Amino acid sequence: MENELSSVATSTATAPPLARIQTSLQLLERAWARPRNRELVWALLYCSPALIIFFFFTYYPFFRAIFLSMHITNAAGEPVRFIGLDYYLRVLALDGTGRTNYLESIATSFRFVLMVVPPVIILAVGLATLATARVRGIQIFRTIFTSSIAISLASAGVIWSLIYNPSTKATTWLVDLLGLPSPSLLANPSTALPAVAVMTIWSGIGFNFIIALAGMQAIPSDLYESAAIDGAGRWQAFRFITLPLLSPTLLFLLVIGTIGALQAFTQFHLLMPNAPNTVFVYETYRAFWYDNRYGLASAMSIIIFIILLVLTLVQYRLLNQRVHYQ
Amino acid sequence: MNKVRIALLSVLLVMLAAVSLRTAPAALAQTPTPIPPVPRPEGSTEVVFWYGLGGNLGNVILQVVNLYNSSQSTYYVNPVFQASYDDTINKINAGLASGELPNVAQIFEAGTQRMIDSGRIIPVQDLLARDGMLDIIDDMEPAVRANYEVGGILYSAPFNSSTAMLYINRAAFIEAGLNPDEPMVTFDQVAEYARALTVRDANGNVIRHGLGVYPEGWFLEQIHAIHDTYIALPNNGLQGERVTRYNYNSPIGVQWVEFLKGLVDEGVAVYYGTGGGGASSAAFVNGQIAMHFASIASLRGLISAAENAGAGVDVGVLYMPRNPGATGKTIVGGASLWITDVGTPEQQEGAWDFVKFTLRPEVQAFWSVNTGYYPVVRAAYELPEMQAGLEAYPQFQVAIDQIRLAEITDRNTAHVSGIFVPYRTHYVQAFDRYFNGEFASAQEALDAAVAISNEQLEEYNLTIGG
Repeated sequence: MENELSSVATSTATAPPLARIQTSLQLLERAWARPRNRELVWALLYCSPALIIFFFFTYYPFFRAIFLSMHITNAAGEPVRFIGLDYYLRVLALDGTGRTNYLESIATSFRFVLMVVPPVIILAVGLATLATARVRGIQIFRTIFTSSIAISLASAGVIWSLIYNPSTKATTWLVDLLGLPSPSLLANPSTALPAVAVMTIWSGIGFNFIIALAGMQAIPSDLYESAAIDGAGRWQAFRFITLPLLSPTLLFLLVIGTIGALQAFTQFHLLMPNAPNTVFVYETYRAFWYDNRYGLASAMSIIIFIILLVLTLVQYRLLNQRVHYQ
Repeated sequence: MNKVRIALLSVLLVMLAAVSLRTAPAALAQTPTPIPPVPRPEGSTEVVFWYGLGGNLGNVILQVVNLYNSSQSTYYVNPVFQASYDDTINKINAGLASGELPNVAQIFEAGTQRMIDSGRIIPVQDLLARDGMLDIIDDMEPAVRANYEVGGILYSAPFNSSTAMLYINRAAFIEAGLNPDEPMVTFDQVAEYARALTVRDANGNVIRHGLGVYPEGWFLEQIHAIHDTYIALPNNGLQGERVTRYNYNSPIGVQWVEFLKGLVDEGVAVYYGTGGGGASSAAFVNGQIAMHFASIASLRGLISAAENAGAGVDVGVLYMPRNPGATGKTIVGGASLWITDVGTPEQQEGAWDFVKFTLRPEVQAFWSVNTGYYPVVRAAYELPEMQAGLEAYPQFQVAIDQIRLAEITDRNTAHVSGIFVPYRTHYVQAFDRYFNGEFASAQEALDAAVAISNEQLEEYNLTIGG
């Protein structure tokens, strides 16, 4: 292919215009004659609706964000001054001023992931184990366990902001029990993040439960039968059959859950507006919408992208070796 | 199988217990009945109007729009709700790039500098001068007028203006032997009041705190204005020169934060955290706190919420507290109407015609009586409906007196800055961090916040310079 192109290039440099067009047409014909190239064209054509959407809504904004992240912008979002990697250094507290507020919010994001993802998966697997029981009315329980999937994060946030309102008895009781200085769970730095995590766990249980239950039901029952014949108890069956065969599902939930928790925004927007010690994505939103620092917000979104990319790769690498696919 | 049944049952029980622990909040916000728009006359010019007030206040705006639309048939104002003041200015910013801007926008004073810098607005003063109506400016409430004048030019038409008050439960004051009718109070007096108003049960648990505390930049600005201190330098940005640095780590700023912190530490005030304004007002109307900081525009809402709550709270107001000898006054907050240069000349004329309508004394009186904002033109006070309103709610008079306490200076007028909204967040977060023990002193907390504000201010000024 390369040789063809270079030979055509040299010949066109000297040839008259008509001959040049002829050679390019010949080249096109020759290329079209190859089935692989034909397939590629058709493939691109068929994919074009998706590609066009991806281009305008994913790739273009992505590269635009990289571009903006190296500029100070004005109110209309136009770049005003090139500042290189200054924003990245500022966010990662490498600019020498000792301002660590953005770095701290990255740490808060990771704390939030740890508070949400393991509990929600454990709870979902626990509930899914219960929901596989063959008792009458189990469908009702399955529906109940799934129900939080039907409530959007925004609605859930509003419901929980009412629950966490300091004038409700549940909150007053809990605040007194813990001996907190402020009457609002969301105003105390020690309880704010756990409170949002509880709401997020509640909200995420429905989805995690369905996936875990589906994963469990896909495990062939003859494995349990033969295990029972071998004298395995309920726990042993769970430990040596359910868990290993569920591991692809668990890996999926872990990856999806981690990405979701790192990107959590709605609940923070609704429950902890303006609060310090919030998560990185919320800080990014603030930098964009309230501070109107589009360049800084772009840099922050690139940083969260890199974090997610690395984390997902690591999770796949490390865990893929330990996952049992049937 | 039995074990499974028990496990399932216990899950169900936990859920039921969670439900039973919940009780309905005392005062749920009432949803106002929507105001239907009047039909658009054939051949009228549409004027798009963005506004940021919701709930009952938003409904009164719609009523004003309907009054205007039925008063003439050349123009038709189409009001578009933008969820909040913040969202309105954000959408304006987004519109600067896309060109989608309204003909008229209601913008809070925090957006003044950004609106001027947008380069897309027509100063109201130019239009008043063109129509020979400059006497309206002279009739404006001086504090209100000063709030929207930058470098001697009135850029926007004040529409809804308010100021901050110290709300008190008059019943609790009388019960504790305190005087609820002397509005001028010092910090020391408020501290004494808070101690006297705090009620403990037999076990020493507080059942009513003297004061509710939450961080709010607007209150910090009030305290600076009362004490004749610039919050931003130079000159609060009012002399045509941009502010280049913030000054709220001033002695009075530090004193204010330490004052509130001291009362919380003493156990006579309670801290509701960032965004705690709603919690504080709920506690106030339920009698859980006896004093609460809020805008005078909240008066009507607080009175009706207190009636609904039925805890015997009698809503009164005092001035914002001050040091003895402080010679300033509180600043005005609220929003004004901005006319943009978008659309056809007819639309721009329509926008101006609508804004002129809102400045009429009878419209201002209608607006004021139904909301709790000041009338922006003084002629409104002479109208019978306004006088009846003041008689029904004497608390308003206290608020009016408060903004007339001192001569207008740049020090007691709201500052203008391109990072007005962000600066408030920096302050609120530093305040919260100090209250939660992350800083050793208010000075340290405010110094850190001012450093962040100045970093961003410098960047903003740079983007405007080119």
